[in-house]
Amino acid sequence: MDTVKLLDFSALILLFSTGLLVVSRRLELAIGLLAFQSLVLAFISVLVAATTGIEHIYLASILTVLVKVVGATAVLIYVLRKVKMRRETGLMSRGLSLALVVGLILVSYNTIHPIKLANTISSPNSLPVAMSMVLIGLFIMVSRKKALMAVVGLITIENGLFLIALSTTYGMPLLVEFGIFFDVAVGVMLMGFFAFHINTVFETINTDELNRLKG
Amino acid sequence: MPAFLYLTLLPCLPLAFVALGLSRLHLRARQSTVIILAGTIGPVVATVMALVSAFNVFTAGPVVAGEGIFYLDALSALMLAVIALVSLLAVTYSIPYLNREMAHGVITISKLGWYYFWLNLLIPAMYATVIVNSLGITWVLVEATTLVSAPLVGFYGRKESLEATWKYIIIAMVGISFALLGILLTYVASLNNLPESGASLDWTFLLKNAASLDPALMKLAFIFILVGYGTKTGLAPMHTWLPDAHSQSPSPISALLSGALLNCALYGILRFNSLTKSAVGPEFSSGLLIIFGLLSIAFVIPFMIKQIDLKRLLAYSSVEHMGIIVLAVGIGGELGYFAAALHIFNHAIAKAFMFCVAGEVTERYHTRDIRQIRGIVHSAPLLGTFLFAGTLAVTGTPPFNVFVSEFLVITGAFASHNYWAAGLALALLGVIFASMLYHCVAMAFGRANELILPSDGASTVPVHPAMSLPDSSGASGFNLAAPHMPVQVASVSALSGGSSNEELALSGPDASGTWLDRAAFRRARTGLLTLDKPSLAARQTRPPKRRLAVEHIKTKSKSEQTNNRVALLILVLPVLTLLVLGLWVPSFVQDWANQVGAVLR
Repeated sequence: MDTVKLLDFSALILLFSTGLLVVSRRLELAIGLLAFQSLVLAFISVLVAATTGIEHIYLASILTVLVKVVGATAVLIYVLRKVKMRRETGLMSRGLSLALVVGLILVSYNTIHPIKLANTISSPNSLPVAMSMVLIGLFIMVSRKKALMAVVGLITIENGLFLIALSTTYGMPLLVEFGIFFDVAVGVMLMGFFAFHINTVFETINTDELNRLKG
Repeated sequence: MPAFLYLTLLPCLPLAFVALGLSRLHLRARQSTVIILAGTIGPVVATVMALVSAFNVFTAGPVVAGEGIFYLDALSALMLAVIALVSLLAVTYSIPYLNREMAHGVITISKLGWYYFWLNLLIPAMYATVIVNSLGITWVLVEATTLVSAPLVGFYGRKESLEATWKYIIIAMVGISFALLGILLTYVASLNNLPESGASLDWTFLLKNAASLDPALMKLAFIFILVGYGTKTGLAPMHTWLPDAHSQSPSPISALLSGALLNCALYGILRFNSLTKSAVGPEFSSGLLIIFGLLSIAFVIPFMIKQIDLKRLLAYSSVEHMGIIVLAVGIGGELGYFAAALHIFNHAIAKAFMFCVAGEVTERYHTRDIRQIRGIVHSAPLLGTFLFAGTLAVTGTPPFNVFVSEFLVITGAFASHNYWAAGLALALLGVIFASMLYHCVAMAFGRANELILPSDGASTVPVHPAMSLPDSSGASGFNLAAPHMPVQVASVSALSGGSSNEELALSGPDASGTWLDRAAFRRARTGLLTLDKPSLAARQTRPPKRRLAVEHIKTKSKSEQTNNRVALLILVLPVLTLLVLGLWVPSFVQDWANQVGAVLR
C-alpha cells in the first residue's frame, strides 16, 4: 500500500472513530475513542513527516501522543473515577445524533471538495475529514450534558484543526505548534479541575444544572 | 530598549510562585501582607516598564526586537499603556479589597496565594499578547489569557462563579478555535503565494506582502477571526459568557478583564482588519465590523434596562463599548481611526474605574442587587459621587473623556457618509444612557424604603441580627460565626423603617463582619418577613437620611474604615483622569492617537 492510500485509509478510520464518539453513551468508551482518535492522528503526522521529510512534524506527533493520548486521557479518567459517573444521557437519541452527524459530514465534503489548495498532501479525504471533526466536536459539545463530554468535544475540535493544518500547510510554525499543545495541555487540566469542582459543589457534572446566571 | 521589553515580562512570573509559596507557609492572618506585597511588586514594576516602552514607541517609532519575535508599533504601545494602567489600578485596588475579604473570612491565606499566582501569570500574558510579531503566537497567548484568568473568575468557588467559569472556559475556547482556523487560512494564503520562511505568519511580513495574498482565502480567514476573537472581545451575539464572568469575578479582576483583557482579543481583530483591507480592499471587513458593532450596541439594551445586578450592568456596558470601538474601526477614515484609538483608552480607564466603584458599593451593601442599593450619596458621599461621575463617564456624557471619543465616532460616521450607522448608533446610545442613568440615580439618591426579596438565594438580602430580638420565633437561631451570607446594618434600619426597629438596629451588636450560613440565612429571611409585617405600619415615618450616614460609619471597625478610605483614595486618580481627558485632550495625546490611527488604517 502506498503512502497516499494509507493516509486516506487513516483519515477514514479517524472519521469512523469520531462518528462512534457521538453514539457512545459510556464515558469510559468515549474517552478511549478519543485517545484512539489522537493516536491515529499521531500516526498520520508521522506518515506526513516521513513523506515530506519535514522534521518538526515528528515533534508534533510526539507531542500529540504525550498531550492528547496520554495526558488528556489520564486527566479525564482521573476525573471520571473521582466523580463516579459512568453513563451519559444526551439531549437527543443516538439515531437522531447519528443522522445529524452524517449530515455534518456531507456538509464538510460538499464545502471542502471544490477548494483546490497547492500544498495539500494528495489524500483526497483528509481535509473533509478534518472539517467534519471540527463540526462533530462542536456537535458533541452542544448535544451532551456531562461536563467531561465538553472536554472530549473540545479535543476533537483541536484534533480537527491539527489535521487541517497538517493537510494544508504541513502544520503550523514550530513555535506556534508548541504553544497550541501547551494551551491544550493546560486547558484540559483546568477543565478537569473545574469539572471535578462542579461535581463537588453541584453534586453532578450535568451542565444543564448550570442555569443560575440569567439576564 | 529591547532590554526593556524582556524585563517587562520578567518580574511577574517568578513572583507569582513566590506569592503562592508564601501562602503555603502557614502564615498567620496578619502576615498576609507579605503575600500581597510579593504579588503586587511584579505588576507595578511591569507597569512602569510597559509605560516606558510605550512612550519610547510613540516618540521614536516602531521597534523590532528579539530577532523579530517582538514587534511594537503605535497600536501595541496603546495596548501596553492600557494594560499597564488598568493592571496598576487592579493590583492597587486588590490590596484593600482582599484585606477586607480576609477580615470577613471570605477567603483564606491559601486562596490569597492562588489569587496572586494567577494574577501574576495573567498580566504578563496580556502584555506579551500585544507585543509579539507572529499572529500565531498572539493566538497562543490570547488562549493562554483565557486559561490563566479562568481560576480568577471562579475565585470564590460559589455555584454561580463556577457556572460563570465553566461557560467562560468553554465558550472562549471554542470561539478561539475558530480564530485558529482563521490564522491557519492566513498561513495557507501566505505559503501559497509568498516564499516560505520562518516569518510566514509575522505581522510585519504579511502586511508588507498583503497585496499578493489570495483575497478569497483572506475573506474567509477574516470571518473566522472576527467570530473567534469576537467571542473573546465580547461582541454580540457571541458575548454570552461576558456578563457571567465579569459579574462573578472579584471586582479588581472584573476591572482587569473589562479594561485590559477584552482589548487583547480586540487587538487581534484590529491587526487582521488592516491585513484584510490591504489584501481584499476596505469594503468587506468594514461592513462586517459596522454590523457587529451596531449589533453589540443594540443587543445589550433590553438586558441593561431590566438589569438588577450592578456588575452585570457594567458588563453589558462593556459589550456596548467594544461595539462602539469596532464600529469606529469599521467606519474608518482619519476621524474614525482616531476616535477608535481614543475610545480604546477612554473605555478601559472608565470601565476599570467603574468596576472598582462597584466593588466598593458591594463591599458596603453586601449585595450587587441594584434594587437594594439605595442612597449611596447619603451614606457614603464620596463613593456616591464616584458612582455618579463614573456612570456619566461610561455613558458618554460631557465633561468626561468617553464623551469626546463617542462624539468623534459619531462625527466620523457622518463624515464618511455612514448616515444610517451614525443615526442608529446615536439613538441606541441615547437609550443606553437613559437606562444606565435610571439605575444609577436610584442607587445614588434613592431612599431605601422597600424590601425586595430575591426569588432565589442567589443574591443576598441584608439582615441585621438585632432585628431578631423582638421576634424570637424564626430568626433567633443565627449561626453568626459561619461564613457565607453577609449581614449589614445600614440598609436594614432603612428597610424596616419603624423607629423602634431602627433604635434596635442602632443599639445592636456591631454587625460588620458577621456572616450567616445558607440555612440560617433562609431562616433569617422568613424571620425577617414576619418581623417586617408590624413594621409596615410604622413605615410611614421614614428614617432620616443623615442618620443612616452616621450609623454607617459607626458600625465599621477601625481597619475596615482604613481599607475603605484607601480604596477611595486609589479611585481618585482614575476619576481625575476621566475628567481631565474629557475637558482637554493634550496635543501629545492627539499625536499618539493619530499614530495608532495610522496603524489601524
